[in-house]
Amino acid sequence: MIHAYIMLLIVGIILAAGLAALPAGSQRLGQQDYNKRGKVSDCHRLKGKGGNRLALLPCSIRSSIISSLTIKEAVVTSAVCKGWRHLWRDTQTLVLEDKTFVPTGADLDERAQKKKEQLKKFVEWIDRILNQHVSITIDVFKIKSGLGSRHDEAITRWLILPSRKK
Amino acid sequence: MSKKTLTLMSKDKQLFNIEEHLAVQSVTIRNMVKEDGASSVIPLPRVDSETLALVIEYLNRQQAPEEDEDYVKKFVDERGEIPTLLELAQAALDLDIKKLMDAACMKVADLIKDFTLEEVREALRIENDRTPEEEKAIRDEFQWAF
Repeated sequence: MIHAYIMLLIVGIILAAGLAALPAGSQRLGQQDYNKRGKVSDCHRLKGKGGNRLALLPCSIRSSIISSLTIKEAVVTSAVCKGWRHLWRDTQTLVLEDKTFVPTGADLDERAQKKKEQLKKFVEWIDRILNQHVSITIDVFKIKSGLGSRHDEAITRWLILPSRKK
Repeated sequence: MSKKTLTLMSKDKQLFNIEEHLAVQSVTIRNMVKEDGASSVIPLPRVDSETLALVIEYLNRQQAPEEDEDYVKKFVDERGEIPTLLELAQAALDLDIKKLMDAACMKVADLIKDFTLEEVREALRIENDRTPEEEKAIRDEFQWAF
């Protein structure tokens, strides 16, 4: 627990960049896909030259690949096809970082305002990710962000999650 | 006492010899040896000869335990093609050689991590099974990731 705190603080200092737009809400990942098409097609049949050479990738290989990615990369990779879509929720490695979010704006005031909004959204985003994360075990847990002391409560909330897992 | 040798047979019926004490780094082979002595040929119907040659090369490594982590990383680094790495991961999974499988998967992750969605599909040769509307819904939901 204390270790995690120290790490968080150090990383927080290193990284003070802002956040960019985050969508609020919108849950229901994939549910609509089921409804529209009724059946999930076999996306694991691999295409291209070599055809079925790779046949289908077993679950443990998919999970292992996803677990080596940050949550952002894991979400993109999980979107490749329907069979992969929940994989990121199972990842053993939760690396949450805000460096991909860079505020843009005409002047300093606008950027500062945007940064504030984005920080708020970043907090909501982590809450959402952690709520949807279902793996029982977790090997790595990192949050890299420039959150200030105003967010102590949120940070404490996040640190409870890995302490509950193995 | 001479060292006992095992023979492994790839999907395309090629035979590979390997000393038993090295082969049993594979948990699958270890269990086979325990069960029936595995005196005859061990068939590996899902591993092609190219991949099996790599696995054998890995099992034959002569490495001090403390250098082993570096070795396996370097080993997969030198085989940086994604299809080869996926085959290797699959073979390592079948043979239950955890270190090799983890390293191969980690290398694949490393190679695809900055890819766009389309590039990941291309690299892993996965067919897109979503309609453009469905794909847009995903992109909207996870806007921060794309």
